[in-house]
Amino acid sequence: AVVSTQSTGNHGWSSVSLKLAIKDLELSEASIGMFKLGGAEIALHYDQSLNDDLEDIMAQQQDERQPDAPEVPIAHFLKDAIKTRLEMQLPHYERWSEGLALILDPKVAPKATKQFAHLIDDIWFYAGDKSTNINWYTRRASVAAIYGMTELYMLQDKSQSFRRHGLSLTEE
Amino acid sequence: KRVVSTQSTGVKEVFGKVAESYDVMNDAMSLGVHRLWKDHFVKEAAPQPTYKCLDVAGGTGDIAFRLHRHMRNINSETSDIVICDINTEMLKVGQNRAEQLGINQHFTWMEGNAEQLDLPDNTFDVYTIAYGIRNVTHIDRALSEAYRVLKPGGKFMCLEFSDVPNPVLSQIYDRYSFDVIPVLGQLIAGDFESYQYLVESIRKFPKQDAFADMIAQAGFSVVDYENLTFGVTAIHTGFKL
Repeated sequence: AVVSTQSTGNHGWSSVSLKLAIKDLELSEASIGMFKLGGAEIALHYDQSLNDDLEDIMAQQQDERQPDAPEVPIAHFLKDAIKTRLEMQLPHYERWSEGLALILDPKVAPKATKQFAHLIDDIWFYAGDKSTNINWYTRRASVAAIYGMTELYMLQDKSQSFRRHGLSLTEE
Repeated sequence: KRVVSTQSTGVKEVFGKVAESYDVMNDAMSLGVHRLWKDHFVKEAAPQPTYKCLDVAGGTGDIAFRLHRHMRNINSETSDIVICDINTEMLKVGQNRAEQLGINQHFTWMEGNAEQLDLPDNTFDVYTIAYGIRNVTHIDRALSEAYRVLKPGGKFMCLEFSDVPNPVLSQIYDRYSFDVIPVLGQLIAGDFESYQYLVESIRKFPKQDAFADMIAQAGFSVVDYENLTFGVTAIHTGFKL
């Protein structure tokens, strides 16, 4: 299913946007039934597509790495990954806090949490994490917490430059 | 003149009686719950007044009338609903009911076979089939036909008896099905064998996941199902994308 996020600029993460997209694609109006969670589905889809983009970037970086190049320090890698991912949200920055609120709704949260967990897994995978013990859980929890705090900070950040949110990521 | 009118009245009465026992049987077998299933089904279908709806195997009009009522509650200007059934008697019953309710002008009654619909491609927004698909000989053909006549983006919805996965409940359900229902059929409709056959055909029909696969095979996307009453009935949906 292709959902256009273009209309979210005007109508937000809503069923109005869905209806417009359906009309654009010349589909039957009955297809709105696909989106059981309504506008939140656009937000989820948008979030997932950015996660996919990040994975592509990390995979490409890994391919391009010279075999004898020095290992990237994990903290450095994590900071970069989170920063890159959050900066992807800049184009729809004004509306993302609405989207975030929508996907935290109890009906949508399970799906959103799963997506988020996959994102953190991917980041750790490319960071080089090979743990098979309790560290696996603690690492994900810590990165998830850092990501969450950074994102909230970024959404409230009204300064011209967004460099500040990069500094809030502390080295572990 | 009088002879003709009594003849047609007599025929009507016979049809009426047969349909009545079908209704009573439905109520007796499902303890009235089939009405709730159908109500829920139509609520899920959520037809808007502008939608072109096709109800297949819907001879007596149970689903079609509900679809109409749903649309009417939104807007008094509603699209016509096409009802297709392989059995002309059932269609006549539905037609008579519609006339009695004074709503027959909103329906088009068509004799036809779900496996080969005499309808053009890309016509309907919603295709519904309730308790009909398990009687179709080639289910895959019926699904292909459903796909063909739906508009791009159109919704396929099927209400059908399905599998009860819970082992405790399924035992109770089996006992009720095999021991009680055919006897009810004999007492109410005077027909033991048909209802024994019905119960067996329900067991033969593919389970929820298998049927969902068949729907996907026909080309539908975003295929999903919802169990009602622990799986006694299931609603399967798919979209033509």
